Amino acid sequence: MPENKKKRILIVDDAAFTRNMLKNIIANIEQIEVIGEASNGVEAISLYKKLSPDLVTMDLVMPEKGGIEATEEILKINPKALIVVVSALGQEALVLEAAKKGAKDFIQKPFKSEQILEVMDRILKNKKTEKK
Amino acid sequence: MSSKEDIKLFISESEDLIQKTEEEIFKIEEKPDDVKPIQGLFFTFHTLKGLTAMAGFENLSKFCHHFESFLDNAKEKRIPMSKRSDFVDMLFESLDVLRNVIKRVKTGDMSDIDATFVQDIKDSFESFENEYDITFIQTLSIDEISQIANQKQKKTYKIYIRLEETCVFKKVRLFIIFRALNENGKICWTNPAPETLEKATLKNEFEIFFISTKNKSEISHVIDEILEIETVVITLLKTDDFIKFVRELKEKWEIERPKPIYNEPEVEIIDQTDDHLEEDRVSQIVDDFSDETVKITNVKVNIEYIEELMNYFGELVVMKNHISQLLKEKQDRTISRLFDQMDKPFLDIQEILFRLKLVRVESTFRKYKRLVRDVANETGKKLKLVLEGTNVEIDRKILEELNSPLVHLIRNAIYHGIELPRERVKKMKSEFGTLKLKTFRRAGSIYIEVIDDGSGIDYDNVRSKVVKKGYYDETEATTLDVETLHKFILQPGFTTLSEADLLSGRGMGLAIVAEKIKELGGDFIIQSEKDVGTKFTLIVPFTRAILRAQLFQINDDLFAIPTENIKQIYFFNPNLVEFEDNEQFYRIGSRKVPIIYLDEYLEMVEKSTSNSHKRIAIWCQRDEEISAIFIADKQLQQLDVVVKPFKSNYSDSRDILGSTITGEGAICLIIDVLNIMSTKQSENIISI
Repeated sequence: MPENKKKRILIVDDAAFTRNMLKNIIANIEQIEVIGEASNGVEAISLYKKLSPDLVTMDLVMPEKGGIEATEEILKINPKALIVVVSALGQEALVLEAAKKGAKDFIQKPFKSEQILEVMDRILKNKKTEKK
Repeated sequence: MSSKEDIKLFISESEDLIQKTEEEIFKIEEKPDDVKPIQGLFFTFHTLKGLTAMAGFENLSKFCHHFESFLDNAKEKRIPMSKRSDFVDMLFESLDVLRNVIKRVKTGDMSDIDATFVQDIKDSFESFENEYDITFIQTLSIDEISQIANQKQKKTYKIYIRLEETCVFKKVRLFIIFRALNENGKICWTNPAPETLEKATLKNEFEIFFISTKNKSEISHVIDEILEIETVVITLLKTDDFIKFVRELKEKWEIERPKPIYNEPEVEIIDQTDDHLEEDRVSQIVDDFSDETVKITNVKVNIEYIEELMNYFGELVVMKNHISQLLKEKQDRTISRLFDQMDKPFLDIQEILFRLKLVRVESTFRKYKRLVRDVANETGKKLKLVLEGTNVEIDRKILEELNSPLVHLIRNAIYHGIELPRERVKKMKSEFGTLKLKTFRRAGSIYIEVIDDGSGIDYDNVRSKVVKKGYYDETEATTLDVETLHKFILQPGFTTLSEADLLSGRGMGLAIVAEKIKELGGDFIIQSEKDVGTKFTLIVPFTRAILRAQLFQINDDLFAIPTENIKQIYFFNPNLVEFEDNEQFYRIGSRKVPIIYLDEYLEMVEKSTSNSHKRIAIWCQRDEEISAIFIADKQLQQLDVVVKPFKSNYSDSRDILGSTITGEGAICLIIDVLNIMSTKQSENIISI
């Protein structure tokens, strides 16, 4: 994978508002692009299969299928999938469950753009290190 | 399950397993680092799982399965100290569930536990594992650690981590850090200790002692991937230094550990009973009604056989009295003398039969060990439980009735009597309180003393309460003696919940205890001294001789029915009477219950023709299947009646339990409704 190739992100959140926020923040980051959006777990899984993104941001409470189940199923498809949970405050138990299912890390809403930058920076940059 | 024998076998096997389980649980508490009790528990739950599945208890079997698989994991990983208390509680709860099922099976109820129970236990194990996996560190001994550290290519690190101030979900953060590190080596210890790391009070910084084959920059990369970390300092330590640090921290932790529930016995149980005293007991009966089986010293006898034996013997006594009557008329001295000689063996048999109804108080008192442990844990008190005279025997029924008063007194004594360790130290008392349960027999009564060396009753407080309630004025109150004050304490409603701290909280519920003991025909005595302690004495008859009965009027006569047999009393509604095959039934909801007109049944009238003056329908129930409606004219008050064993010889009918005299001096017969219902039932069967 060439160094300058853009990292591809899948955003999963049932609120269009949150998805837009994330998209706007990511639009300002040069090396990263949003390649898909899902508003529930079912969509998330099928888009993951189709697009194989480098990273997924995952909301937890969603209709149809929640983020925990989606996390679990995506990791069945690809055990190395990078999933970052984007949770509301007060959902510690849920976040822990997602982490135990294999989510890589988590951030809380409301997030600042620097936080998203940091996530992308730390997690995606280090992914290369891992592969060495 | 196919046969009665199978069920019996199932009961006895399950009870054995439950007892074994309980013993292992106590071992966990005694030897927290020993993996053997966990293994033992694993096997008992495994066997229980199979046993309950075979018996058709699908849910119960699943319930046991969750314990089994959790224990299977725990064998490997061991359960961290901080979680052991919860775990032991869960185990005890499981015993309650199992015991309840067995109890139901004994009454012929083969219903399974609810599926929600299974889900609940599954959930709690999941959350339990979730909880302890976060900062889970295999509790390696220092020897094990030094062995690993000295392996080839192993490097020993101290990793200092400081989280960002804004980090909120610290638990998850720790989980992620620990997961990342455990994927790359072994966490041996943390500072502060692992158990306190996840507490909400956690400061944002901590150190991890870590063994890995990875080099420093590799570890640095691993941690670098994790969010919300402000500072990381990774220090490579010399193996010897590393071991020294870990050892020191572990030792320090052993001392500082906040709640040393398991290493020191907070509750010490001393049984001072001399077991040899009454070793020549005829036999020990399995107590069918209590939750626990008695420790079997002799033979297991089904309680049904004993009841039957007693019934037959009762019949014999009645017949013997008939013969005695006839002999008097015949005036045959030779036969009369011979007959009189039968009295002695009859009395002997009666005595032995009577003894068979007895159980050792031990059968119930064993349960209090756990109660004391639980309440001590709840309240943070430290105490010794001393049991004395557990081999004293008492009527099974009375012992059952004593259970709730005793539980109440024990809870009260720990909650309100015994002080917190630091208060005790201030009072120059030992940190450990003493709660003593002393049982002894005196003159046909059983004495049970519940003695604590706690704060005692504050009589001045009681006096001011008496004044406040307006019973006496202040000067009068000061002259009130302790006896009078006790009467106030035992008055229902004298203290209320909001004033629970009055009399060190002792007022609450004591009225109920006193009432219960009175119902049993016993006595309840309070003795107390401030800061020295309190002694409650329960004096109950050796055997149950007193019954609570509801009085009824039929024509001009009085009758009583034991209240324990009455399910419900209705105003008689003739419209609800239905006729079927010459029998009358009373409609209660969707049920049809056979009617017994007491006046007709007791042969007071030829035939109960007119319903005009019938006013009361009494629904009595023997069990789910056998119940009947008894019709009387008028409902009167309730009263305590005295019934002595084998006094049925004074009446010709076995339908009469005995007689009593009401407060007004009227004679009243106590009707044995259970017997009437059974007779009625067998008549019906014959008529079919």
